[in-house]
Amino acid sequence: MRVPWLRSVEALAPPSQEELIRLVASGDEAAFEILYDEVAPRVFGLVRRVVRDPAQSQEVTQEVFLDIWEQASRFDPDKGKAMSWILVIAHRKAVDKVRASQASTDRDLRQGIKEFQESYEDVADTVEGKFEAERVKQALKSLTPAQQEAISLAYYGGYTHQEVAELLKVPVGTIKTRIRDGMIRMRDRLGVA
Amino acid sequence: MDKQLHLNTGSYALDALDNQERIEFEEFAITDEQTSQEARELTETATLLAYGTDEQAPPAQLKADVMAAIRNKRQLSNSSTVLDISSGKRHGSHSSAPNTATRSRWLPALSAAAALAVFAGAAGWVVGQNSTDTDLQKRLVALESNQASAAAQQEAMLGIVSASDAKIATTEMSDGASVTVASSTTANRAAVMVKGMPELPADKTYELWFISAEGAVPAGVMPNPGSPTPGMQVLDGKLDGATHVGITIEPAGGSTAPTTKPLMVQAL
Repeated sequence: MRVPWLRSVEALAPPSQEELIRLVASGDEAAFEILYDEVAPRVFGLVRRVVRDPAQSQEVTQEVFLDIWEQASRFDPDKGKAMSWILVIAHRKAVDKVRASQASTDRDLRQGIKEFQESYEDVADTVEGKFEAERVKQALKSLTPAQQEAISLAYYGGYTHQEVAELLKVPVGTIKTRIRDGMIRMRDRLGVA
Repeated sequence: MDKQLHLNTGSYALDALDNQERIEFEEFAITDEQTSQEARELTETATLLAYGTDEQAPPAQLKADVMAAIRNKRQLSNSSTVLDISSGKRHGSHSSAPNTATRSRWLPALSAAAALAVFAGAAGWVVGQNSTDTDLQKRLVALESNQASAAAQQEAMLGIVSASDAKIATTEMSDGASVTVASSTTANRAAVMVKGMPELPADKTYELWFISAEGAVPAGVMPNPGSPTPGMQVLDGKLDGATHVGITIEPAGGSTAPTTKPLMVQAL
């Protein structure tokens, strides 16, 4: 038997994203709407960065949210944050879209370098004031320029490590190592374990 | 290790592997605790890179579209979280081995891809209808005859395929291997045929599982595939309400509960 006042106290605390996903898993559309409002700008921002084309970015973002709705029961809060789960889905879908349209439009690899230089400027400029963004900025700064470049091209550019190697004219084995060493350094910096 | 797959953890985390590479990596990672752990951590790290982009509100119309679309979109039920059998609670007991907890944390990194793979497989289900029963039966018997093994297996097999509610589905794995699962609720049995599964080191084995919301029940280990010919095997034990059949890689001799992510999970 629940004590009534306890329930009202609980109601005052805004639900965490993890709780929201649990509610979404049970078909709660209101919870889904709250979750959408909370995370859509972050998801759309990421998708726009990778996909670039506005119409395609909207398409991908819609797919991401349909996936969240459909697969909410698969999310397990013991295994990671809700936001990480959502961003993994968003990034993978964005990358899939970029690679699919790449096949039809033959994306110019040279363009990648320019995009990277622009996008890296963005990182430095737009992260002010936000805790996570600040941490990411610091962590990126702790990498060698070569590691930053390889990681940014892969993550923000949506390029495969093979394509990154072609862009930078170095063997793919070198790129793999740059990416892995850089990511390990970021992990240790950011205390992810 | 020719391909140095363990060096791909960073590229994996950044989604910088092509499809073929990703599958190879995932298959390797589930056999290697250290690699899977590193891939999981780097994936978590990679999600932080998303915070290096500008937040941007999508157009209001997008929200309206999404809210309208979910009303027509079926959700996966809780019982379909079968990929998570490595931490599956069995009979309400919470005494799962501590080291399975680490292993199961690997899942969020894989969930998007793994979920897609599983459901692509499930979409391949063909329900055994009268018109296809004969084909099915021929196919199974033909496959089965490749193994001159036990008459009991043959009998169980025929029991499955001759049942009016026999179902068969083939999951094609990306590396060319295929797994066909046949089952019948009436016969209360299931069988698998595998083709082209990679050979495992001597200290590992493929193990079959009956999976339900309760968890995974061992259904026998598979002989290490040494030939490209299909191997047929009736699962040990009864269906008894299982909703899925899965295959994992386990230490030689098999485990009593799965310790790795399934290579394949097929809905029944």
